[in-house]
Amino acid sequence: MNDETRDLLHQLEQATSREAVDRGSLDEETAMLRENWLAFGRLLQSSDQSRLAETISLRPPTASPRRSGLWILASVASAIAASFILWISWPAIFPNNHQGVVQQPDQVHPEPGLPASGVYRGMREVAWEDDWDHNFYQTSLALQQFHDEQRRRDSSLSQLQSEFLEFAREVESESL
Amino acid sequence: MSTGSKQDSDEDRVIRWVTEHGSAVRGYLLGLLRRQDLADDLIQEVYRRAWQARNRYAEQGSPRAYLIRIADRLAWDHVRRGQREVTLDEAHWGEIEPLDRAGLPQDPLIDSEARSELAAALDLLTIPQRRVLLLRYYSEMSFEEIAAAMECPLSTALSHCRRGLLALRKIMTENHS
Repeated sequence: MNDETRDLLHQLEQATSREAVDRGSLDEETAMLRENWLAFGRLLQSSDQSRLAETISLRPPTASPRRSGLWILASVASAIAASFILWISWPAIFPNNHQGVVQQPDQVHPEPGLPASGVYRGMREVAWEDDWDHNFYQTSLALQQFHDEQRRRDSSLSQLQSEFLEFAREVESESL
Repeated sequence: MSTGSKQDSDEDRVIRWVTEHGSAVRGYLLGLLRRQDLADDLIQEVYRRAWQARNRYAEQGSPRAYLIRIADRLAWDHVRRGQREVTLDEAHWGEIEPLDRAGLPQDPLIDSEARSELAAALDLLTIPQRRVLLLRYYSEMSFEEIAAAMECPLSTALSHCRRGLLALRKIMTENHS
């Protein structure tokens, strides 16, 4: 603390002291500051603030406006983020819908490379330009082929079996 | 058992702070911010913080200075956030009524005059000047403590105080004339 600050501190301590100060011991400026300070104190005292404060009552705590503001801000930010995520992921969820094009029945065409006649005709009639549908369709075709092949083998075996049965019946009847 | 009695004494102490120092805390907030609604809100916050810290409070220094330091921090934060200061004119000071004025003998004309004089005096001061003078008046803190509360050098706090007192001379002169 330099001398100037020390002198100023001493002057203001005297001017604003709560204890009685001998006015004769003060220099002119300090006395003037003291007078202003005392007048200011009288104004504060008489302006009813003290009496107002005697009747203060504490309220139960409530949510502060700042906290409410934060909640609103957080809600808006969440809504924006949710909208953004939905907008980003929309094509992945509905791949055909993001372009606004709905495939019409007249755009349906038969799967190329398949026989145009035979037992699969009915199954080929509907084939959509869609990976999932295409895979499903191919799988069902493969299953149908496997099933038909099995059935063909079964029919050969059943024919052989019926021939054996007839032969056995003839042996039993001793016709041979 | 001892914890319970200590808790009781902590709670009693905060209740005593409301009755003994509430007027000073509110006077400080009103003088600095010049808005009764804001002062009312902040005084709730001052005592809420004092209540929350009642177990940690150490008996060091004046409780009034402790409370006004909390009030000062809250008020200054408010000022720094750029909230507009509303200067109350005489009519608005007149609207400031206690919650229950019944049984308080006073002359309304004198009150109104005093409030308008105080409003005029506070108008002469900048916020830092007002802060130093009100801290000095209400909290009885030393200038070193005031400078620490204001987070400024001692010389700056002293300078604000001196200039504030010099500015008040104008209103004192007018009163005398």
